[in-house]
Amino acid sequence: MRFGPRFHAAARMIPVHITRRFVSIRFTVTAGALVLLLPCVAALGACRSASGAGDRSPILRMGVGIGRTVKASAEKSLAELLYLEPLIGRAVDGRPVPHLAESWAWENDDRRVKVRLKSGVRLHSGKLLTAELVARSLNQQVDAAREFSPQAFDTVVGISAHGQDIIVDLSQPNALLLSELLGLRIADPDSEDNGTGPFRIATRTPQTETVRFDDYHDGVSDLGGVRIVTYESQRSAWAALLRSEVDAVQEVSREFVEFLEGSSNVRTYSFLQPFYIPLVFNIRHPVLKNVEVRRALTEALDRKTIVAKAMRGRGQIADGPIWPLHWAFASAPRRYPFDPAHAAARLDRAGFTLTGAASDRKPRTRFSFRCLFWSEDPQFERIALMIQRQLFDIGVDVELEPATLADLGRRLPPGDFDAFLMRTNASRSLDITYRFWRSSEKGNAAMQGSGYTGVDALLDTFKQSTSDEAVRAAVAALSQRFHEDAPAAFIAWTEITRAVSSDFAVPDVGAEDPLAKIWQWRPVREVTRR
Amino acid sequence: MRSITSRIVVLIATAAVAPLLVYGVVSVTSLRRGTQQSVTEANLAVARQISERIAQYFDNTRRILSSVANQLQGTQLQQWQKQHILRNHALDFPEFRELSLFASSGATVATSRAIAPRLKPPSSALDFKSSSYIAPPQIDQDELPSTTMALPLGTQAVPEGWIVAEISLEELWRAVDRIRIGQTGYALLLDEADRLIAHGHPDEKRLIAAGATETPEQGLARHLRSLNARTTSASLTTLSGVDVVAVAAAVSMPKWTVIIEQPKDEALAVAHRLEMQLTVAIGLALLATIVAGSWWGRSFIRRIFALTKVTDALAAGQMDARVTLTGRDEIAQLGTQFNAMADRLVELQDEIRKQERQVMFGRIAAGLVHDLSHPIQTIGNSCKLIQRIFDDAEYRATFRQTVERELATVKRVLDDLRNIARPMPLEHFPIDLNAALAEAVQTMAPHAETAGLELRAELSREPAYIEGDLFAMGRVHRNLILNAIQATAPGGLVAVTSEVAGDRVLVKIHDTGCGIPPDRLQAMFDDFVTTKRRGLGLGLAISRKIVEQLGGQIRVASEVGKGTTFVLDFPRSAAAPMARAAG
Repeated sequence: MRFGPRFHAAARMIPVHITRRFVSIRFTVTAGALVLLLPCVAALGACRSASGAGDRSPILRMGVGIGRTVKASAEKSLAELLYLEPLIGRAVDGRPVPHLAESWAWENDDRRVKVRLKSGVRLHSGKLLTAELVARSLNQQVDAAREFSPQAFDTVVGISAHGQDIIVDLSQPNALLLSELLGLRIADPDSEDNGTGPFRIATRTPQTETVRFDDYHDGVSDLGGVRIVTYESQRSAWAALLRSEVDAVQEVSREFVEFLEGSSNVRTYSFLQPFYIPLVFNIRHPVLKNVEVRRALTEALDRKTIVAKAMRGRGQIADGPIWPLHWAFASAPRRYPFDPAHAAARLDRAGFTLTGAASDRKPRTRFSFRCLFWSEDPQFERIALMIQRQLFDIGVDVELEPATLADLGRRLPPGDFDAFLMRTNASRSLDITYRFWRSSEKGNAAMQGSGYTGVDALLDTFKQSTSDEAVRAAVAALSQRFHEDAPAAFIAWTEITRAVSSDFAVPDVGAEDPLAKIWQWRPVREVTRR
Repeated sequence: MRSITSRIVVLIATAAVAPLLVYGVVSVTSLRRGTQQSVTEANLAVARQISERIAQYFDNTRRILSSVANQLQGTQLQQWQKQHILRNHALDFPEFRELSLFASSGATVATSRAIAPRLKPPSSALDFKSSSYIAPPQIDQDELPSTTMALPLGTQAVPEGWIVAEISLEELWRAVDRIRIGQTGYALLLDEADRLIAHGHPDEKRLIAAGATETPEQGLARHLRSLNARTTSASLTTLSGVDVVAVAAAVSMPKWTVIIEQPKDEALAVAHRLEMQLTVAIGLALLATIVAGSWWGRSFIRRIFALTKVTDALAAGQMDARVTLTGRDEIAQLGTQFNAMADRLVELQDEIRKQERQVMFGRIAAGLVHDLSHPIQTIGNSCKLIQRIFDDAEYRATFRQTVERELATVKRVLDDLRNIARPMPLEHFPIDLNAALAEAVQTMAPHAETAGLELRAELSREPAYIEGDLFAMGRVHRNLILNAIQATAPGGLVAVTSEVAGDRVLVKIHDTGCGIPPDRLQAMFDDFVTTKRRGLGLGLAISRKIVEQLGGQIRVASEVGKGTTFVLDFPRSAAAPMARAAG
């Protein structure tokens, strides 16, 4: 439950006025108790409204297995999916699709985009969503993003409203603009919880709970609302699902999926995520800066075995950081085949032969490097160990160093690593790929500091492409360059599995994430809570 | 006849249906028992096999660990080499989540992990003489069950170190999942503390997640341990309410329990099908027996019914009724004999009728001779006498009177005969019965006097009017009084009384005569029946006919040796006779 700024201001003022006008301690205590009681009474009212708005539509309980470190952000992301919406959506192939926007048109030599707002959309407060409100919301978020990263929205020179249209003026054409706008979810500039999504926030304590928004512009959900229930681990979340304490689990561990798939009480939905696992090399490393070394390391990795054994087959081999289902992704470039002998020969040719003598701590190797791996997901340790062994087979010593997400966030941007292994977001529309791989003067410095600049020009070309043909050509060139430069050994695209109680029907969304259409889930029978 | 039908039904039921039913019940029971036993034995064999494989799996794992320990022990391997061996094993054998080598001090010598090992050497409180130690299963970071196995190193009483492995039970879980008994049977695995660690039913894995306790399966595992046996079986109802045939087998190492459950619906499906077939077969056999028995019984009973029907017809006087029975059995013979008996009965009846007619003709002839011979003889004598004394005017007058009287007698006899043949025409006028009785008594007084007995009249003081024919009633009265006089010995009494009882008028003619035997009382009022040695015997018959034609009744009560009383019972008439009314 959140209160408006006036409420908080008034609440802050009450003790001051009381202290000034009344000396009586008893009165102060009584008034203090009233101040404490007021939020409780308000919260109670909210809970009542959250319990189903007087109808029999059930509240869907979504279990989210997350660690302490990412709890807040994961809960926030999931909640935003429920109550906020972007202007423009995104299809599974990365194409922009209308959402709050009805249509858009490029003008002024692709330096302006005019976005027509869908009419009749209302905010949860009942207020009509206007282009002026949207423009204010966008400007607010763009400013906030620029505070965090000066490179954000670098081409945007102004966002304004004109009638039912939102006008975005650019300094130069930007093929990623729509994708960047996609990341901005529209809320009332005066109240960040006041969105247009199919559910509205009922309370945020102890955990986020939403209730159905009956004036939702796309239809009304059969669900009474969604309650987000967080757990310390995925195991706790699925155990809760099996115990019927939650109705769905955001993610089921890849190991347990096959055991859930046979159940008639639970349905699983697996799909390829736009997340990939790269072994990113630091180009500043004296050995890894050699492109032949990077190619040899890539060639020495048996990614098929890694996907099959370390990832339990829940993924597919990656050949680059470009989402393979993207509309502009014609075909993968020539893949480095698993060929340890060729890799060894390549290293030999590059001058990296087995040297020195083995010690108690180290074997005789061509060279060594340290690899950070994300230690909070046991999958990455297995992948790291397999990589270590496969590279050991060609005489490369990999020293594994576990790192938490916080460690990685601290060490990656300044380039404090030789190589790192973690899950990386590619996004379906390539805007995050741009920010990840574009070197720091234009890319996002917080992403990685590998020092690789080989694709900067191509990424910029891609960004400035204004036609489908140009985008396709840029994507093909990018793929080729990633293949040639091998700034990372791209291991695999990951598959994710959601699990939903068979008490709820999930519409067929093809290769999409069923969570994107959670408001269209419906109870298949009267849900009784145990 | 109904009882014969019932008896035949009971006979068929006892002879055919009951044994068939008993056979069916016994067959179904033994079939069910036999099937359950064979299902249990088959499932027990599977459970034993699984338990042996689990023990073998852990034994193999122990051997691998032992082999790894041998590679690491007493050799001059470098630290990184030991680590590589452990990591290679962990990567090559996916069941090893972690392999770590510990010194006797507990310090980590080498580990397969890229991070600090999770495992620790076993507590010193353990029995070091054991060849290996297996910890209770737990759920690992990958949400799958795992257990820890530790092998002491060296041959000393105090181990030189430990090799410890975290063993994923994923394969075991998968193996348990793959076990299918029939279509829906499945396996479960419980650890030494009876915690559920694997459940082959996809919808029941929640029990593992829920840490379910006090399940029927846990009860079965405890029961197995209490028996100290390798296997046991039971019929259970699972927490989901499914009736299952359950068998349990103990694993030798670790001390786990394998349970196989198969829903009874499926386990006993063959038995149920056979039961159904048997029931249908028995039902059909019963139906056939009942139909055949019914057909046979009906054909048997039908002939008896035919015999009965003809008997009834004969009894009803249909003397030409005969039975036609087919066959050559006793009933057919009975029918033939019955028909012969009926034929004979008809013959006998004809003979009796003939004899009765002859007797009747004899009696009528004798009566006529008796009643007519006297007047004819009197007339004849008078005719002979008149020839001689024709000139005697007084005698001519006497002659005329005599002839007229005797002719009247002849006429009366002939009238009696005619009245018997057809109803007499009677008048219905109110008459004074007392007056009629007084006149009759007066008329009959000379006869009584002649017979030497007393004729007394005791008439009611109330008027005794009835609707009647004065002449006919006079005849009835005279007839009854005359009979009484004739039946009473001299010195006896003939009393004529009348009384009015409500709307009835009763006339009683009582004598103190010899009385009438009871066997003759019934036929007293029949035609041509008389106790006298002569006469037609039409008096009482005509009297009854007259009384009944006037709406009255005539009864007789008699006691041999004491006398006889005739009672005339008439409805009383409210109207007075014409002459009295006029006078």
